[in-house]
Amino acid sequence: MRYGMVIDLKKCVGCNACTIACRSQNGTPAGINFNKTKKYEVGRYPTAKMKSLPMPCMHCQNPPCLKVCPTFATHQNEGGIVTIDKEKCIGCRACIIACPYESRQFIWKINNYYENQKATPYEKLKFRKFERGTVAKCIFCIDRVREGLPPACVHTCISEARIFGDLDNPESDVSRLIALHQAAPFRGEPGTEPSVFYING
Amino acid sequence: MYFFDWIITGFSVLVFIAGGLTISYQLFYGFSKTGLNDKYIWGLGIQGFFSLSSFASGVLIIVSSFLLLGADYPAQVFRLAVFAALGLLIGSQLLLFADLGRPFRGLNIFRIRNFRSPLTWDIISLLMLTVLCLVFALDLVKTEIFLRIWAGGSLFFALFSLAVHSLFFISRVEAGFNSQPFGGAKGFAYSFWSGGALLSLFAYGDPSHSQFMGLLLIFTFLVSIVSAGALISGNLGQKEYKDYRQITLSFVILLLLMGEGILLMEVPLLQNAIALLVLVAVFFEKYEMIVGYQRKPIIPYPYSKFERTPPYRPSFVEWASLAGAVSCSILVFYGMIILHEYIIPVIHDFLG
Repeated sequence: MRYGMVIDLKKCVGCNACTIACRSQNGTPAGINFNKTKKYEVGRYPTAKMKSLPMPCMHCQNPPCLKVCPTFATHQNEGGIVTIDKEKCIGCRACIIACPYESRQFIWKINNYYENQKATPYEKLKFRKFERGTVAKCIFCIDRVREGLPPACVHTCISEARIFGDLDNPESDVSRLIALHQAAPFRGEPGTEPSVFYING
Repeated sequence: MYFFDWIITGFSVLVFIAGGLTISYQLFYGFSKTGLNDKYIWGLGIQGFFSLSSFASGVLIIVSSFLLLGADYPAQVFRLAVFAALGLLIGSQLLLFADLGRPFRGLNIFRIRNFRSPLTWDIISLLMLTVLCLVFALDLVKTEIFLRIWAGGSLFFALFSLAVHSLFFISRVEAGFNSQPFGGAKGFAYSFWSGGALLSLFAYGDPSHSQFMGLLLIFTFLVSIVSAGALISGNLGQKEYKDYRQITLSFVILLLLMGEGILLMEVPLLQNAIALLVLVAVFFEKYEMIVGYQRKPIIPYPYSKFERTPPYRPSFVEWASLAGAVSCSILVFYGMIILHEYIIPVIHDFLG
């Protein structure tokens, strides 16, 4: 079993609903984004277009962030999902330096969404998962996945640009899409073997 | 100790009290008062850590090489050099722990050991070097054979720590930027350079001074060649590697040293100024290695086209922590001298 995701860039409309769903699911403090959407231009005037590149953590099979962590705070769970144990994280930030996908963020401070106001009861509850001085990242919504549900970003995508499934199963949707469209990972050259594949990238 | 040494010691005590307070703040309240951001993850603290540990490694590589080969060596100069290396190692580790998001959890590195992590090996090699320096500084190396074993261990761990420092950025390596063959060599060359500079400072007034100035000239030449090679290699790769400041500084120092030799001017003040300039140049090299490196977008063009790069300006706490670590190094150095010159003789007299 190896969980993976396929993102069809032709279908992605750059609405950022995935980013919002991710924030809602994981309760990330303001400024912490597990899912980033990079904007870029293609073509030349008058046919130039603005496109979006959604970037969750690549959950690499060979993750450089895992190797550099001196306290095993970063570990690979069942299905290859890479997570961080905040209790073990010492905040050395070597994993952020090692990650070639900018997938990790250091929590400099727990920021509320409403500036100059105390944390709301919702924020108090959700922010318990986070600790200042540690590192956070996308966890492929591991709690949902354990319940047999897809990650929140996949569930919410209005154009069904994101597909989630088992990369080891040749009959799964992700495997069939990768084979059909010759989907490729983003920046696979460092040998990280990402579990996120892009179609029409 | 001369009057000048007492002034430096007194000044270091004052700086250490102020800097020590900021380091304590970082240790107890976490890593919050910094100029760092999501773009610049490592800053002045890690730059200082790399610089101080590189100085110490350079000194120990030269000292242990002389001892291991059985060459005639200036015992007093080497003694001072090892005291300095001990201070630099303690200062660098203090800076590293103050730079952690959860400083006290840093002790978990010893409990939960991931031997694939460069940081684990870095801490192990620096701790081993600290223990070795302490053994030497406390005169526990009594016989020739133990001295050789000590030198072998120091040489190994000093070279090892420098090798480990080049591993931190390996997964971001790409053609023409840090993959150029001179990248790792620069770390070694700059460390030897700083070691040569510190030894020439300690040998001031000693007959061995000219030998160390000669060694410094060789290392300057090595650094200039490696820096020039890195620039040419980087430009051939058509990447943004344009580190003109380092090359200019190394060639200026090379010209100064060569000019001094050709004109037969042995101006001690100029020689000491050159040695200090070398230490500054190494500190700048670490800036390029740590901070300058992060300026480059991680995600390649065009995906990073609209990325904003917030500036990095080190905060007061970061500067004060660096000053605290440097003053700690100076205090350990003078502390060892005071121990040997004043305290140990008194104890010996007391014990008869």
